Formats: sequence, structure tokens, C-alpha cells
Amino acid sequence: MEWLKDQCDKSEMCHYWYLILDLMLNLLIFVRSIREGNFSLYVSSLKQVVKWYFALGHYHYARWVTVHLYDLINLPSTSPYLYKCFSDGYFAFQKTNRKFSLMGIDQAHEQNNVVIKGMGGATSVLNKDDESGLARWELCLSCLCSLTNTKAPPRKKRILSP
Amino acid sequence: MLINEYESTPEEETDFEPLKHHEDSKSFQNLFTSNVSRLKESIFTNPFKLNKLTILNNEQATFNDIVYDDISKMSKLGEEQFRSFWMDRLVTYKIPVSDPILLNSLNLPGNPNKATEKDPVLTAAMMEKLKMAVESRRDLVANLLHTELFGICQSLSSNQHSLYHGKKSDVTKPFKSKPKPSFHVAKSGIVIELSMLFRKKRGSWVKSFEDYARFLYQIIMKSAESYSRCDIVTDRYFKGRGSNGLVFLFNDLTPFPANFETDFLANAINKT
Repeated sequence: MEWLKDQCDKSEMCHYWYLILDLMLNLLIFVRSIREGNFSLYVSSLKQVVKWYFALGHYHYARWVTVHLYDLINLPSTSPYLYKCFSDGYFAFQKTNRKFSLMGIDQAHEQNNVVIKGMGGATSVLNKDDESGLARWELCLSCLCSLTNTKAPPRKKRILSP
Repeated sequence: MLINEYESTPEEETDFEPLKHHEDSKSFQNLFTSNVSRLKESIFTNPFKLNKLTILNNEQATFNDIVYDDISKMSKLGEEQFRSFWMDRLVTYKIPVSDPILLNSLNLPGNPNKATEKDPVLTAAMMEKLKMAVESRRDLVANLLHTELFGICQSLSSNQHSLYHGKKSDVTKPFKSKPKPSFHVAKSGIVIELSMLFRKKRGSWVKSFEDYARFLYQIIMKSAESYSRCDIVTDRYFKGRGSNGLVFLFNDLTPFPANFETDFLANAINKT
């Protein structure tokens, strides 16, 4: 990496591949921050990547990732409790006991969608003649909604120490 | 009752088996190793010894200086735009967040509307590469796919600059679906659409349908003399009442109609 950086002034090729390597490393750091639940690393890696959204004309990402970054950086003053939760790693979702397998909340949501909407999920419940199954599912759904609305704090202590 | 039943259901403690990641599988690892070795094979010279910005598997294809200038300033430009967006819209509120963000007009590799498209050096090198790929390796598709980047020749990529060419099956399918030419097939051929010949002005010696058949024969033979095969496409008209209500009654000696070239199958009554 250092050698490549030194060569940047002499060779166009080295400069180009240095930029690519830099971008790729930032991307990998971003993935690592989510998979480890490392909030400070998540914010700093996002800050490194956001300039590329501007440069390459991805204006939706450029606008909203910047707003997202602004919110995250100001979190200690606007919402200290949320900041503490995020710093403890609760901005990501842990589905398994593996240490490097946390995922973004949106990704976990998509995986839950498969459970509900996929084969054997809500579709099969709704198709059954017995209406009690549907009633149970609706009951569970309302519980989930109320949990989300009241911003329930995480109840179980996570295995991973961030 | 239903709620009581739900609440009294004992909570099952389930131990989830840690899910194995698909990248842990041996087949995935083998594929990755294979791709890396193919990538290595496709790069002929050490790219870091080349001073100019060059495509990896074709050192003759050099990008225009404009492209490099834009690439070198791209990172700094993005950084400045990010800082101004931050200050103007989120800190000082000079501009609303929803205001449009100005797009940069950069000449980047793979951007079809930019200078890379017009660069004659790059285009010529790419065309040369395409020509070589077609001419010298026509019957060596498997070899071609193996030695090129990721098993897919770059000349088949959609924009000829990108390292991503789509799935391998997308490229191999056209090759597989086309039958290989055999020695029994004629080297060259011609297809003549006969209805077009009907519009051709006939010689003054054509008096009957027999003469007209001879006239057409001469034209077809003259057109096809340099080919080893000639296909003629035409419609067939039977004697008797046609579908348009007109009657076809003629034999070889029937006088040839004077307005045949302009009026043949040009029945204005049936036009809808």
C-alpha cells in the first residue's frame, strides 16, 4: 500500500489502482463494522465512502447518507441513550452465535420477510380453513408492532463485546 | 380464550445452529481460486510497470489523458462537494436539503457518452482486439473463453471497458446455439425475393407469360452466377378465384398485361 502510494506521482496506472484499492478497503471496513457491531468504525467508514457518491453522481445516496451521517455524529447530544445502545453494538442484528456474522437491520428485516411471506409462512396460515391460526398470527403481529412503537430497549445481553 | 391459550403456551427454548456461510464451502473456494488464476493468466504484463492508464488484458488500449485527469481529481472533487453539502444544508441551512445536487461531468472508463467513446486510439485498439478474437480463434471458443478474463472475452462485453461481462452463460449460449458450419454447406449463397423482380421494367420483347418467364429466368441466372447456391422466395398463385375475389385465368400464350409492373397485387379496392 505504501509502495503504491509512493508510485502514484510517477505512474497513472499506480494512481488508478491506488484509488481502487482505497475504495475497496473502505468498503471492506464498512462491512466489517456491521459484522462486528462496531459503531465508531461504521461511522468513520461511512464518512470515507460518502465522497464517492458525490463524485460519481449517485445523488440519492449522496444526499441521504450525508443526512444519516449528520444524525449519527450528533447522536451523543440528541439522544445519549440511543448512542449508548448503538455503541454497544445494537445498531446491527445478531442472528447466530458467530462473532463475525452480524447483519444490518434492513437485511434482518428482509430475512424475516421471507419467513412471513415465503412458503410455509403467513400464506399457508391464511389458506387454512381453521381461522384460529390466522387470529394467532394477527395477535403476534400486533405484539411486534407495539414493541417497535414503544422503542423497547434490548432485553438480552449480547454475547459479543463490542 | 384465544389470548389465554396464546399466553399459556410455554416458550420454547430453541438452540439455533450457527448457519454456515456460503463462502465457507469448498466449491466456492475452488471457484474463487479458479477465477483468480484466470485473472492472472489474462494479464500479460505487469500493470504497475506501465506508466499510462491501460486496460489490464490489452496493453495497446490506452485511455485518453482526459480520462486520467478526471480520475485523479475525482476523489478531491467528491470530498469538496460533501463538505459544502454538509455546511450549506445541514449546519448553516443556507440551502434546503431537498435541492438538487449538481452532477459532475466526468470522463470515466465505461461511460459511453464521454471522451472514451470518441478516443480513436482506444476504439482502434478495441476493434483490433475484436477482429483478432473473431478471426484467429473462431473454432477455439473453449480456449478463448478459458484464457480471457474470467473465462469470457472482453471484446464481448457490453461497453468494451468494463471488467464485468455478465454471466458466463450469457456469452457461451450464442456460441452453443449456433451449429458449426460443415463442409457440405455451400460457401456462399444468394436469396432473391421474386416480388421485387415483378417491379422491374421488362424488355419490349415480352409479349406473353412465356416470354415473361424467360425474362425472369435470365435476370435470376445473371444475379446468381457468382454464387454456388440461389434461393428464390415467392408466393404461389393458383388459377381460379383468389382470396381477393379476382380471377386468375392465363396460360403461357396469354398476352402479358401492359400495366403488370405497377398494378400486380395492387388492388386498391381491398385496401383497409
